[in-house]
Amino acid sequence: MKCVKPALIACIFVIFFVLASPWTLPLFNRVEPWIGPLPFGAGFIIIMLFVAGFLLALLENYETRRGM
Amino acid sequence: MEGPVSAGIVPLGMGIAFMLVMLWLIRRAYGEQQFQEFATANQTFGTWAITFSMMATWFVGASYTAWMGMAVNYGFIYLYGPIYGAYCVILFYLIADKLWLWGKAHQLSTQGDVWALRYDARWLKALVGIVGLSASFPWLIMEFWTLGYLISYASYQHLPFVWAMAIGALVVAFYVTMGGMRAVVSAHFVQGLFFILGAIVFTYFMVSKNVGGIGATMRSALELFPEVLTYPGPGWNPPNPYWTSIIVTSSVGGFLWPWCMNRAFAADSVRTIRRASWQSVYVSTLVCLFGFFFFGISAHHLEYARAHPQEAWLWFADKMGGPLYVGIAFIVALSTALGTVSSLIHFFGVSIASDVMRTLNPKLHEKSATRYAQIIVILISVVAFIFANMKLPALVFIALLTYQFIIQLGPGQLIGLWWKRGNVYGAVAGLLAGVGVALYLTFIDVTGTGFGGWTAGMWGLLVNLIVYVALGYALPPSKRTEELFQEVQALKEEAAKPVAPAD
Repeated sequence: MKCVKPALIACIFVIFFVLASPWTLPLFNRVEPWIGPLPFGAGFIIIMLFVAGFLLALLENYETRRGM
Repeated sequence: MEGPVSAGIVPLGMGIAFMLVMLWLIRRAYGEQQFQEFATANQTFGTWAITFSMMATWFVGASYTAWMGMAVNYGFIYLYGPIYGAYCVILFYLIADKLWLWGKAHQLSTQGDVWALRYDARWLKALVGIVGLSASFPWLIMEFWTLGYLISYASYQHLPFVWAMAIGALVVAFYVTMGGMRAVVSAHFVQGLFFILGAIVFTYFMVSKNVGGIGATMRSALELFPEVLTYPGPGWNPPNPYWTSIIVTSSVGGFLWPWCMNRAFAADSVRTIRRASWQSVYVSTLVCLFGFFFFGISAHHLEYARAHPQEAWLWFADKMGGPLYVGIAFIVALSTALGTVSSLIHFFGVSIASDVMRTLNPKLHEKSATRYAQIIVILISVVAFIFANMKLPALVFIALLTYQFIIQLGPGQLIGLWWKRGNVYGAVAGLLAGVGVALYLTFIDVTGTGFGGWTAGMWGLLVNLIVYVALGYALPPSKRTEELFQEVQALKEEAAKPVAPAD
């Protein structure tokens, strides 16, 4: 179970790399509608941030239960 | 935005009523306080108060002028905002336990205190305090200016700018002087609530009245202005690394601002800061999406908004619903401006009294320190008022530039709170080297995009990081640091113990 915290932190920073890197930017720098009318780029960023927030909430819950 | 005097009375009256209600709601925070209470509210605030406080501080008043201009003109690139909003609180989360536990055990009240404790060097308190004060000064002026601008503009420009700023400054200086951090965070609760609801719900209503709902707005933008939906936006062509630079710089720097990071000392537990952090990720994402991105795309359809993007928020509200809408939009923007100005002047008061005066005179009495901090709050408000009345055309640019320098505190603070080998030599040499490189490159290329899109601060941060890590490995770890990190574990165990019931 020792790997849970580093794994969650690693996932959160992988999302950061995907969103912020100049090499991955062209992958989501697209205009076509994706979720309803939301364009692909904006939709992708918002969903990834929601996932990052969820992972952070999981991390908080894990650390609280473990008294960390 | 033009209109008769009677039109200006409605939004101005609503804004003044909002400020009076806020002053009344936080009345219990006023009163005589010891310095630690004035500086940190003695670590008493719960999760939602800290969440709203983080949001009211992090979203500056200029979000509704300079950043709104970015969203209206360029669209997509504004989405760096929610990314950095999320990741600056995530970085804050990762150092929250040590900040809070050391803060409680060692009575820390400023960023300078944290550095002095972590690196066991009292003089660092003054150095870090002065770095924070210098970097924050342009923000203080900019936020005072924004406060005056918003109040004056909301009165349909019938109230002169000087008087408008004087009203705002008097209100903030009053409650900060009277109640310190307790009043600042209590007021943030009210401001944050109005701001968040306004930025999401009210903006949605306004956007719906323009082109149509969110769907209609995006479909229309795709047809008419597809370039606002991709990086970098119309009429601008920075290379891709510029996107990375602004996100990394802002994420690292967001909670290195001493007036943001001191929220850690106001929370009632480590868990409170952690919960507030993940709540803030969601709240800031929604606010940026509805309050700025969708609004920006909607306003981009209007020629006047494109030509005057920094006025777009209040002008758009007037166009959609007249003085009543201007009043609501004004309260939303006013909430962020008051929130940031209060955090800034409180920080200036506490930092000068603690980092500078208490370093020079360690025997300074608690009550005297509080008195000095209160006097400094008033003096700094007067100074900011005078500067904000001057013509400072490059102010926003200078304020943004300060991010390139505040992030140089990153290795010493963010890594230093995780890595025991980090030492005072690496922290100071890295900081000086980083600031030096950033300063030099800024003079060579003022636009900040001339090095393949990598900004001056990024190069400075890289050099800073190399120096910090190299000296960390080159020198033996300090015994005091080892003790300090061991203390964290003991403090966590102590904090986890159940409290015995009172007899």
